[in-house]
Amino acid sequence: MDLLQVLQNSVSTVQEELENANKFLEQAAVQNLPQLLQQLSDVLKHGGNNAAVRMQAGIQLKNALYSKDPSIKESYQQRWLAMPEEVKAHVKKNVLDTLGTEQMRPSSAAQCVAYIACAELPQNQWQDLIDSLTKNVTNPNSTEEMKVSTLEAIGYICQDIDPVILLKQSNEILTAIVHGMKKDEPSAHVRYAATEALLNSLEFTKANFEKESERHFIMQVVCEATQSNNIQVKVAALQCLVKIMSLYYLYMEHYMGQALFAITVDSMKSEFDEVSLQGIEFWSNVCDEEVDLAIEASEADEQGRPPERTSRFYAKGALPYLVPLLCMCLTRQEEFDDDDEWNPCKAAGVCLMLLATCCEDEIVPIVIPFIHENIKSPDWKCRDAAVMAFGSVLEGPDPNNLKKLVEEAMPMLIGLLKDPSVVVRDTTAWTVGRVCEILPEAVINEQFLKPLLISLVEGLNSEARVAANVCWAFSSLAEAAYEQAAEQTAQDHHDDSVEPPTYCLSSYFEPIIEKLLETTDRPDGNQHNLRSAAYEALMELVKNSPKDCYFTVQKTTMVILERLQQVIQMESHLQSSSDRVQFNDLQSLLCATLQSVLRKVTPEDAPKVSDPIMLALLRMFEGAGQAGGVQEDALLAVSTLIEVLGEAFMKYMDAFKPYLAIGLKNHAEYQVCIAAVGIVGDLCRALGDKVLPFCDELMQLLMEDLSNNGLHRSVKPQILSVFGDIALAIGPAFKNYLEVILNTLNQASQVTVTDQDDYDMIDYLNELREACLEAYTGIIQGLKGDMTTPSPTADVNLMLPHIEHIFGFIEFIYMDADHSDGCIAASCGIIGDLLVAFGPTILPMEIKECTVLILWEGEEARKRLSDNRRAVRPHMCGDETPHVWNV
Amino acid sequence: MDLNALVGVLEATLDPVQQQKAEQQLNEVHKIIGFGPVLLQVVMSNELKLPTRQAGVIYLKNMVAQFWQEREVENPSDPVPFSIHEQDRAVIRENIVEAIIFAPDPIRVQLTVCISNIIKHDFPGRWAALPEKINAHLQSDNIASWLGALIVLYQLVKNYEYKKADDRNTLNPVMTVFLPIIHERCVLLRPDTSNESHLLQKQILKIFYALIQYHLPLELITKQIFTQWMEVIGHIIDVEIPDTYHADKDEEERPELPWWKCKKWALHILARSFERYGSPGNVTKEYNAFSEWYLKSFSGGIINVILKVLHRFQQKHYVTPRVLQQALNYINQAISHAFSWKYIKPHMQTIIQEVLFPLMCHSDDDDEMWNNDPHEYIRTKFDIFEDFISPVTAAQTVLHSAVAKRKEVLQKCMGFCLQMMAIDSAANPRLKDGVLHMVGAVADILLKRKIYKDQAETMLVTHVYPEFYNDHGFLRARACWVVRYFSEVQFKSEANLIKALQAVQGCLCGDKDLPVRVEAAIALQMLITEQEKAQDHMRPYVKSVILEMLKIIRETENDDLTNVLQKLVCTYVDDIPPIAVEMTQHLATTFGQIIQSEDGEQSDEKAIAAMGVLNTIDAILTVVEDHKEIIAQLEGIVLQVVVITLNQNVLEFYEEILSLIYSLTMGQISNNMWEVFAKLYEMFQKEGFDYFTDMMPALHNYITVDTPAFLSNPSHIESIYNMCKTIMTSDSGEDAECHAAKLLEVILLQCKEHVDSAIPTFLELALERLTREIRTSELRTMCLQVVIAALYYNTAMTLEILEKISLPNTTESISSQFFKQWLHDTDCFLGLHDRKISVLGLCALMDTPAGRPTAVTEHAAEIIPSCIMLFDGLKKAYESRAAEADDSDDDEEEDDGEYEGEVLDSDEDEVDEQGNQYLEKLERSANGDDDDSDAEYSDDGAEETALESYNTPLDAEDCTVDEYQIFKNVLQNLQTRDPSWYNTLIGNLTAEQQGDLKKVIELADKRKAAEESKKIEQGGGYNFTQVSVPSTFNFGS
Repeated sequence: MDLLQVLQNSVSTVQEELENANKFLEQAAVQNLPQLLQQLSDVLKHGGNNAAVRMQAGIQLKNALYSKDPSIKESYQQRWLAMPEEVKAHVKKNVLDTLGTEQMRPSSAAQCVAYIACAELPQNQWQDLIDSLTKNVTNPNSTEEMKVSTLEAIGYICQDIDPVILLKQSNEILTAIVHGMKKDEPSAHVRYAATEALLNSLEFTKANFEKESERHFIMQVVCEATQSNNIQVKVAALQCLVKIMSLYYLYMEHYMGQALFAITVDSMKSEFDEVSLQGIEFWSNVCDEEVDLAIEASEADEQGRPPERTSRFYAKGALPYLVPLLCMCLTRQEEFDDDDEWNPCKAAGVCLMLLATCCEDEIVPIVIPFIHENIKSPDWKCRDAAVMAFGSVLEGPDPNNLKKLVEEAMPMLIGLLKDPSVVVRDTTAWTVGRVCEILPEAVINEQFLKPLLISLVEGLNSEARVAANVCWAFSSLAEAAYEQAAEQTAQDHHDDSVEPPTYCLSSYFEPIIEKLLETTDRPDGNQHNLRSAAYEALMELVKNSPKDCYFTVQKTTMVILERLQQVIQMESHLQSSSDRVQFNDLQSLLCATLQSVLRKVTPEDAPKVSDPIMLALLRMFEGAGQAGGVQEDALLAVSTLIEVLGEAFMKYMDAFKPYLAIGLKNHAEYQVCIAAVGIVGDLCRALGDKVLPFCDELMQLLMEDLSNNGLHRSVKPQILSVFGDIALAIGPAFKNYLEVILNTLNQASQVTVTDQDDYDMIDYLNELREACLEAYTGIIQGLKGDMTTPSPTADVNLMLPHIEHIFGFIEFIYMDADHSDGCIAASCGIIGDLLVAFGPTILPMEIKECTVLILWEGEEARKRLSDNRRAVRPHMCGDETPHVWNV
Repeated sequence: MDLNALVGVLEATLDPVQQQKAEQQLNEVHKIIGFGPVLLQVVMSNELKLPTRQAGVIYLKNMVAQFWQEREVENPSDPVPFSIHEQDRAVIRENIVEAIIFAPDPIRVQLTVCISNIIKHDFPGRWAALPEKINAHLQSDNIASWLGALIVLYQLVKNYEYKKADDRNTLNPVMTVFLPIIHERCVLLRPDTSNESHLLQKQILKIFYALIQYHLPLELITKQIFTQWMEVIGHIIDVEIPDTYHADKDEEERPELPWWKCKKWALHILARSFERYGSPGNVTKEYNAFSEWYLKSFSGGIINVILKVLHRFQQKHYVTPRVLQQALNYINQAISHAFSWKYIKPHMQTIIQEVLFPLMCHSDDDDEMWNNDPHEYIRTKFDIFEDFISPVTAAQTVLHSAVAKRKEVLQKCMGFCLQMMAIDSAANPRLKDGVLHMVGAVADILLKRKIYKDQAETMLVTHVYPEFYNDHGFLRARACWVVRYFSEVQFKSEANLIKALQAVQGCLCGDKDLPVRVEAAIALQMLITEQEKAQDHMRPYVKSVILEMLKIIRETENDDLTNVLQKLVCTYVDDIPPIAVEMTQHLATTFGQIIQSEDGEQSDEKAIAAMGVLNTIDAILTVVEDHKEIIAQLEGIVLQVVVITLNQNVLEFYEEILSLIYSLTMGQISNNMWEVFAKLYEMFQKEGFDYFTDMMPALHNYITVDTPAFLSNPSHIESIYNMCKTIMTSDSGEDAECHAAKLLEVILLQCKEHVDSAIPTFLELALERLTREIRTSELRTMCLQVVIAALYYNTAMTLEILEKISLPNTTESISSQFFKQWLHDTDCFLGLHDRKISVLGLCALMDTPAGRPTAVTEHAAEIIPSCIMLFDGLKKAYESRAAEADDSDDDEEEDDGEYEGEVLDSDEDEVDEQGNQYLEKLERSANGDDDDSDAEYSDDGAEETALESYNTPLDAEDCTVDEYQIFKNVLQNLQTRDPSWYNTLIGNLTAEQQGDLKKVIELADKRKAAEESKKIEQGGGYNFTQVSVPSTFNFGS
């Protein structure tokens, strides 16, 4: 078949033609890709060909060079580089020649040029490309099309390539771009393409920005472009300003006062949303930057040195101009605006929040008049803007200054929860939520609490978007109320572990819980995340409940359990994949809620409910199949159950063990694997030496995990530290595994990082080392046995040959400047354990200067050490971070 | 002078008419050779009248004290100072031992002092034969001579009592001989219960005590020897003294009886040995083994003996207070050790109920004092020295230790207390007092145990509160006292707190018994300190309480009460201003009263009370600092106090007075205060010389608080200059000289451009001091700093003056010497200020366009390296200042660990780790190898220097003089203005120095940027003026 025809067919509307064409192209690629690419480039270049065909040729060519998947892209590039020189030269010449000759936009040749460049430039090939591209733009005889497509090519290159590679050619590139952007360029297309290219090139033009004259010129060109009558050009130029501001804040003072301030403020007033969005975005960026600079300044101040970079306080200076404009933007919305669409109204809200964070107290007097003027406006848009403005400035200013203001506003807010406009109600609910989170003391008082709670409960009947925000308000309120009561209790008892007997929400607790349960069942629960918000509020309420709400907690436990059982039964009725998604989400939510109620259940009550719970969870495992998310949720719920039940969990072991094994073998979904490893630790703590019969199997699984290179690295430290838990649980019986585990630990303790700036790696290494230390600690304490036998026992002597290594390891950690506090604390722990196990005689032969230094390092470390000396290390139970699910 | 003539003269000294002439006669003849021996002969003559002999022995004692030692001549030309001729000394040495042996008591006492002095100077050098002589007398059959010999031996040992092991080499061989002898004597004497026998035994025990109380020579006192002594000591304590022995004596006289004294010393030895050498874990290293052995070997036997002593007391037999106290101290120590505890454990409850409890009840003595001399009662109860000898304090301590350290004791003890507390206090007021005393003494422990903590409030309400209203004053006082110790209790009911406050306030303001009011005051202070809510409840009554406090303070002149008042002042800051004037007036009058009456035996306590009053006035001044109008009123009152003190030259209050002057010159300086300035100068001239450093803060205020006024009168600066000159030219110590130089520097920096005429004299003074010997680098840098400050003040003028000044003893030009020294000492400039002014001075030098002294040119290459070093130090100094500010924010945290864990099991010992370390440290420093002390000084010198707290404009928070930026600008300007000089300066830098210089310059830029940034922030953010979009964007032009 003729290639031209094939390409023609590849855009055909006839299904069969399309498929055949694609099949042909695939075959041709397999048979002789170089030849195909050459032919495609010929088609592309040939001006006589049909425009659509040319474009298809370009696209096919591009697709052989580029993919969104980075690893595929990499392989395509390698494939290209390996082709015969003459093929590459032929193709390259063709695509370059095509620039400026196409009738269709965007130019497909530009893409081809760019993606070949992305493959070749990093290899120092095609070195004359940039030069010829520059000439294309600057040559006075170049056509508009030539300039546009060339600038597009430059833009693509800049967007895709590592900026470092273009550093040395930045001058030429910039010359071309600036040439295209200039005010006197008659073609808006050219200017637009140039401006887009500039936007993509800003990262590697640092050297040019450092030179004053060049910087002046770039800024001039950009500023001029912002004044273009062409909206596209204007927006692109404004985008450049936004990016320049965050990249080159330090150089901006010269332009800020003269131009940028006026340009951006002016653009905020634009009737075109996309223009005013960029104006707002600019100032949001300024705020981000200046908040960072403020942090940097206070850090520097604490260290008694000047900061590396300093703030010019543009946001603060611009505040009186910006706030009224932003408030006006807040009114720019329609009742049925799409939730996901970014518009000036939303951007202005964010910008106000950032300004409040950045300028703190000073924003308050400026924003207050707007609120006063509009809060009672008959126009819902004005009311909404007023509430939004109020909610936006709550965080940042000194809470003491805000408190009175918020108290004054509370009656108004409570009233607005019943506003006829759903938008206003939504925003009000959000604002109330923020008050509950940021200034809870303003609402937790006799005056407002009751009316507020009544309105909030009613609010749960509102539209999903409103109700979701109400749920969030409940979460914050519960947390704040509990914290307040807990503080008081701690003060009264001089003990911060005592659960408060009651709190201000106690008398409303049950109705709120009931209403929230009802809300989770709302048919529109999947809108605006309402269902998960309602469950989350439930969890927060349960978690933050005092003693006198326990009855309700008990009841809730039963409700959740019942629902879980129901959901599991629904599984067989699932029809569509969206049903499946909803089903999984619901399971996750219920599992998470189950965890939070279980944590509150007293040890006496736990066994009474554990049978049905375990049964439900086992059914979940059964039905989970390959759904990793469900596996993980169920495992986490089991983990909580183990914690609550302790030894009593033993009776479920036979039934549960196979699913634990499945979890441990789930290498693909490492989150599941981590959860399973965590369970092993939980079991050790809960069952003690009764875990022994399962150890052989578990150890084997854990060792398999460790030796699997495909497994995500974050699982491995967890496994090492679980070895410690096992040793602690089974004591002297651990000696069967000792040799192999110690070998593993030795290996793990020798890992180092090569790249000192790779913080993720450094963190990981610290985690790994801490895990090793924990394992050693567990093993030493485990082998030593309890305090009743005179130490050292014969078993712990097995560790003697390894002590030198352990001390060496500790020293090694200490010498590493990047060691974490956790590592030091754990090191101290081990030294303490060794002293307890072997007595002080261990020291003279092993003590090294660094051992002493470690013991000196930090009050924290010392405290932990003394804890260790007293008795067996108190185990940190799995941290109670709420389980995050994917909604 | 022959014997008879001397007798005549001595007799004449006793006759008031002839006295003066007789003394003059003695002074004329006392230097004649032979006088001393004749005098001793008179003293020894039994046939002479006792008063004559006494007059003689006192003259002899004074002569020995003054003239026994040979003195060196200070200047070769001076006459040799008189000392007793060796010929006479030999005679006196030959006879004095016999003199002591045969003299009657009043004479012997004085002779003992003589021999002590003689031993100090002559033993063993000139008097190696002394031990032999003592020995001869001890060996004699004449018991009468034993006592004298033992007294001499005691003096010999006492000369070594506080010496370290190494300095006892001459004593040990002597004691090797004597120890067995005196031990044997003691054993032989023991069955003899005559007074003579006990006196001898007591003397032997005192010798042993003196020998071991500071250092136990293990090489001398072997285990065997120690055991022998412990046996005899044990016996001495063990023997019961029959009640008939002291039946005819008053209670006050009984402790003076020889037998009781003998017991007392025996117990002293036991308590000391156990505490210092026999307590494992709490002794220095060398006694580790000994302590283990001691505990195992003696606990059983000795504790039994001690328990018997306590048992006697329990049986209502008389036991002297000190014997009882020492016995209890021994028990207290024994509680800490598991081994000894097991001997005490079975008896503990009995001891608590039958010994400690009775001791802690209100006694007859207490009652008599309470009624007859309440002031004395208060004085005794608040006297901390009393605690060292009081059996009541000892009982309290034993109770506390047992309860705190040993399980079960608390529970049983509280069982007893609860039972006793229920008794009717009207019928048994003293028992009630005792039990409340016990409960209060263990309050801190009760408040840490959950069960008692929870009941404490109920206990207070039921058993203590009613006693606030008891008819017996001592019970009302006790109720206040208990509340004080329970002040940390968690009141569940606020009403109970209020009740306590009301009761205490009632006692404070209305009670008829002074001691009750005093106890109430202290209880109130503790409640306010510990109970947050108490502060608010008391607020409405603050005024009346304070006025009442003023009255009580005046009446008692008690220092603890001035602390209470200070606490009130600092707590109720806002309530003070309205009554500040009244308070200060009252306190000033009280102060006047105290110092008018200040003589007699209690002067120390009165002085402390007077200081307390002055400190309270100072606290009031601080609290009303911001109320200018009140300060103005207070000023006059406080000045009266100042003037009285200065006029009467009461030196002991000068520190406080100077502090008051400082407080009065903090915010402004009134005309009156300028008059005080003149008075200060007078005081300095009179005798305030020693108080110069104490004056410094006030002087600094005079210069800096109102500089125009300071400058308006030339006499001000002249006075300060004169003071500094006096300090820096006389031998007043380098610390004072540093202060003086600092003051000159402060003037130069504070009065920039206004004191041109003073500069030459300042420079001369500082440079002159530099040419004389200086020991500390602090003084050297301070003197250099005066010149540097002058350079900064006016470079050209200073350089000119430097060229002109010529000083004695040197030929080199003064400026050359100065620059060399300055650059050489770069590393001695520490802290922020000193380094900063040094950099600024160097900048001034570099920036001198013309007339640069040759010395500067010669050392040009060293200037930049010096600057780099200073900048390096500055960087650290800024960092450490910031870290300090950071630290003070978050050092509030304290860890009050779980108390339950601290109780010891029966088989556990308490080891006093801190005390132990302290002992070892002492030991080390005594041996001169204390390496800690070095460590403290070997820091990087980043922290503040002591003198930089005297701020100058350069140290102000908002100071615009930035040494980094100035340095950078100077260099930058030189580069274009004077390139060859610039190249001289930086031409020889090493690559490393160049790098450092670059970093300094970068830091200067960053500091500038930070400064600008701060300015923008303070100006309300960036100032946007261009609000409309310009038509063109030509940024280059």
